[in-house]
Amino acid sequence: MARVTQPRRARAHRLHGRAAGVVLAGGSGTRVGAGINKAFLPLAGHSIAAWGLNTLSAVEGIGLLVFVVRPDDLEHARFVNARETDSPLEIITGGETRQESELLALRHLADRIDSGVIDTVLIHDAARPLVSHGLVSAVLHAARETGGAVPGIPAADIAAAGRDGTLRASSERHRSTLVRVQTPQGFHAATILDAYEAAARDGFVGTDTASCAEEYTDIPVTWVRGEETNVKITYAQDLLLAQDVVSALGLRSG
Amino acid sequence: MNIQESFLRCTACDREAEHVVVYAGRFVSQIRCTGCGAVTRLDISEDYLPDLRQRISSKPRRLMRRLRRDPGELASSLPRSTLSKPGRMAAEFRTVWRSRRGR
Repeated sequence: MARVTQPRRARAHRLHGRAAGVVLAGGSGTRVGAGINKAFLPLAGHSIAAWGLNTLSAVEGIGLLVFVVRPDDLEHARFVNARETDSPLEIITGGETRQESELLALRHLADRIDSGVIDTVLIHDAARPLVSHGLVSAVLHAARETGGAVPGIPAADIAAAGRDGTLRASSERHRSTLVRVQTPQGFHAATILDAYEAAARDGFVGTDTASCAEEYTDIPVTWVRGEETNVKITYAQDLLLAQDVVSALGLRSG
Repeated sequence: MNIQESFLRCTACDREAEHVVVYAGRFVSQIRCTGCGAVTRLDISEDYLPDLRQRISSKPRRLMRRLRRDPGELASSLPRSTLSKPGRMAAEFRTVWRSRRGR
């Protein structure tokens, strides 16, 4: 059952808009015996998750933020809410898988989706701290236009690996049809809620929000051009890369 | 100086393992993979002082923001953090000094 944490005090910066931002910090970087979830590692003075949360909150049209975390990370999440974000967060605990966490977040919003208070949902990985305002706005706009949108980078540099360690020839035509998908992924809220409920009934587990939308909805999932700087912190060196990007772009955390 | 541990994939051994991340101020100065022992060190000495100036100049604003949001939390945590600040700053300077290239 998802737990909800309300902010202690009203913030000066209130969000306005009918889109909800959902930031997932469920399973990233936590194992038995590990220190902290990588989403809560500091990056230039703020946790990795706080960067994405603050970017989403600054985008016009996003009216509320849901932060999905593991039960063990609730204290970290409350710290982020109290000290590192510009807008109040609704903190809930997620499930065992990414898809379960997304479902719990959508159920948390269900009443407001059904009443029309929320029309669009943007789902973002907490481990992608450097998403830009422009990209979030582009995904939100495209999602409202078509029903579903994801950021993608054309994968012109992808090659197929053979079993013997050599590269297999792949046609130029094939390469031009591939994109590397990023987040935030935006969808018409009521449609994606229905899709996730249907997926839960069927036991379907997709790789990301778009895969569930493709399986259970008729909405065309369009893609907008993603950003090379919107890296997912996976390798230790990604943290250094993100730090360099923050310095190079002159981004400040406080 | 601040030390955190988290699971990340190692560039050297390509395995997911606990990594020890050492910070000086807002900068990562060292990452060590506990799986294979690979260490990445960064010379942050050039970037540290300008960032420290920015941290000092923004401190009053950050304290005011905390005061507005949760005065009780600030009142309870400020005495301890003020007393421990000199020690933390000394550790931070030592980390920056060690990160210098050629040492």
